[in-house]
Amino acid sequence: MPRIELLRSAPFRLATAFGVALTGCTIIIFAFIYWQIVRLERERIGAYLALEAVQAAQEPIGQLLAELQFRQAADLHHVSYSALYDRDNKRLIGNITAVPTDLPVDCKPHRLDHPPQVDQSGPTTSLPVMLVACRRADGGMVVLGRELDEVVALRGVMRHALLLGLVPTVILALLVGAFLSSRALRRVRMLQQTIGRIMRGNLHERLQTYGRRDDLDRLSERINQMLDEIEHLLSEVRSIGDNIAHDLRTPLSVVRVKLERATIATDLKTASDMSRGALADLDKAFSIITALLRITEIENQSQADGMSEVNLAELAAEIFDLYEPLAEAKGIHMTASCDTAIEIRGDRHLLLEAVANLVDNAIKFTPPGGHVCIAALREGQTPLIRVSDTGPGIDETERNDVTKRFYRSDKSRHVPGHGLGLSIVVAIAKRHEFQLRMSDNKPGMIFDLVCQAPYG
Amino acid sequence: MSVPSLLQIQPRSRSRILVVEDDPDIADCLVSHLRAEGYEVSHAMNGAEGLAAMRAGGMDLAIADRMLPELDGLTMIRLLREDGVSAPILILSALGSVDDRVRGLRAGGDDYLTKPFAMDELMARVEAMLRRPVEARQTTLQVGDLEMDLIDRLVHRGPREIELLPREFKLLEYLMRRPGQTVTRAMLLEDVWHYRFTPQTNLINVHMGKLRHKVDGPDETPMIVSVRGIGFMLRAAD
Repeated sequence: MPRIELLRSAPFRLATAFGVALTGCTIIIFAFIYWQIVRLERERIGAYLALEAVQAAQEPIGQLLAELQFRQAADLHHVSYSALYDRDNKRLIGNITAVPTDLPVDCKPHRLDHPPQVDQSGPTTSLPVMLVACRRADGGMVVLGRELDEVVALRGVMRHALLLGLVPTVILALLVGAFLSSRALRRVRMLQQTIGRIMRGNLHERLQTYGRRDDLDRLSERINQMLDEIEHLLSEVRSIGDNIAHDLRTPLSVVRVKLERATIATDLKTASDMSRGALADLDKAFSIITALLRITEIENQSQADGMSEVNLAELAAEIFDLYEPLAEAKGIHMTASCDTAIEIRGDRHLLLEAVANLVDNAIKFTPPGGHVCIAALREGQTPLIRVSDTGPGIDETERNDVTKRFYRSDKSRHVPGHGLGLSIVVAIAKRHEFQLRMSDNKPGMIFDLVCQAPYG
Repeated sequence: MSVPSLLQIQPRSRSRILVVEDDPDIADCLVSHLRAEGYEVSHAMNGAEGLAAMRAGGMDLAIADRMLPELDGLTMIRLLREDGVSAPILILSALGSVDDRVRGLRAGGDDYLTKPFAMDELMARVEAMLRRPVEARQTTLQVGDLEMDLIDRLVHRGPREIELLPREFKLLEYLMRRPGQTVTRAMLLEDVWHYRFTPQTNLINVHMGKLRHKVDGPDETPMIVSVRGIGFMLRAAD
């Protein structure tokens, strides 16, 4: 099983492919060199033979006979062919017993695959030959030739070199491949084991990296980032679940007590008072559920839905109009500054809801005699809606937490509300790709809903 | 100040209402509550039955659950509207998102109420749907000694002129078009403010408080009264 795994591993496959490619390339190069050398060698032999034959055809018969005799005697390796015929086609000297009929008498070299018939002094092999035939002035014919044995030898040398060079290279490549793949496999096996443990619920574990910045390392890093995110989300979901359970349990247990008392009440007035109280507490529980569903709804809406041109100044004025009586009733001085028209692209209803939540909070937390201000303004080129108050403010360390669902700062424990207002604002800001920024009003808070310019 | 119950103020001809609801508990509650309010009530268990009952005619209003067996509520309403049945239909649904609401009204529903709802809220809406508000074309509105001039945007109670902010004017106009009728806070938010969300703080009470302060002088009989903590009613002073 491990051997099959090794053969299937990516590095080993790469090494095999490399070996095959290397072999192919080498064979092609060797074949080209072989072809070039053979061609040159044949041309050289042919040219030499042709020169010899032309000379021989012009020489006096006596001298030629002596030379041919010497040529034959000097041919210790038995690679030469030669013959001299008189005008009556009678062989005067040479080892060729029968001149091939298809050999043209044109003083040019011709390659023949089958050697001509020879007597015992001629070559004994049947290798291809190069032959030249020339007509003499006296009507006779001289034929000279040579076995192409160098070419055969060369082929052997080439095959040898190829084997000697290639086989070790390929073996080396496969060995390196096997080594690399076994190392990679070991890492993959470790990754698999870790992932297995994570899948079984051990979410704190992380994949090991080796600081090599290679593919596996980078993949592991990404997976680790993903695990971080999943762990974060899971813990958020878990704490939300806990919070929902806790926040619903409180009003529901009050409901239970009140209903219990209503059932045992002896007079109708107590029973009806208790039931009414229970209803109010149920409504509180429902408002939590509604707010949670609302957040989910906002988060799941598609980006383009309900988007239009929204005038921030009008929006601020409308919220001022809605909340000013409430502020006044609480003895809070509320002002609005929204003179210039500022157009942005957004969902009007959602933005109203977001700003209403911010103002609602501001009025809730500002003591009587305090000041709440709503303003639509531009900061450089960036439009924003600012809600500021003179309440107790939020500590810098708490500012990240207040946007989490159900987070209630110690200062807000006594203030009625479901603790989801800022979560709704954040969800709305996120959907618009806007940003909720908090800063210190000294004293109090400044909430800025920073909007992008309408077109970039 | 006297707080009239809904029962006391129903000067009602017996309107016929069809309840299309598959949950027996909710159906039971709805039917008995509506009967107690003096309506004549029929009950259909599913969309197909509801469709047949509405097509047979004679119904003044239908309350239909959105998710029904056999034929879902929205399809039933669409089919009825295609048939030309124009009786108002109130949709009840556990789906409370803005989109669900829009879909329900687009299908031909006249109002949309999300479960869980207060029975008083439902009754107020049923009443509002059965009574047509005063014609929009009228240029003056009158309830008792309260008079509203829609063109000059002037309001008088008897000889006394009442100065109102634009928002207060709109609010009073809405009430004067529905005299003697319970108007819930949710209805005001939806119809006067056109808001699709519920503010955390009870803003409507504050606005109504200011309006009431202006309409009902210190030695005048109150015209704007609270109804069971769910809404308000404008009625002619006795």
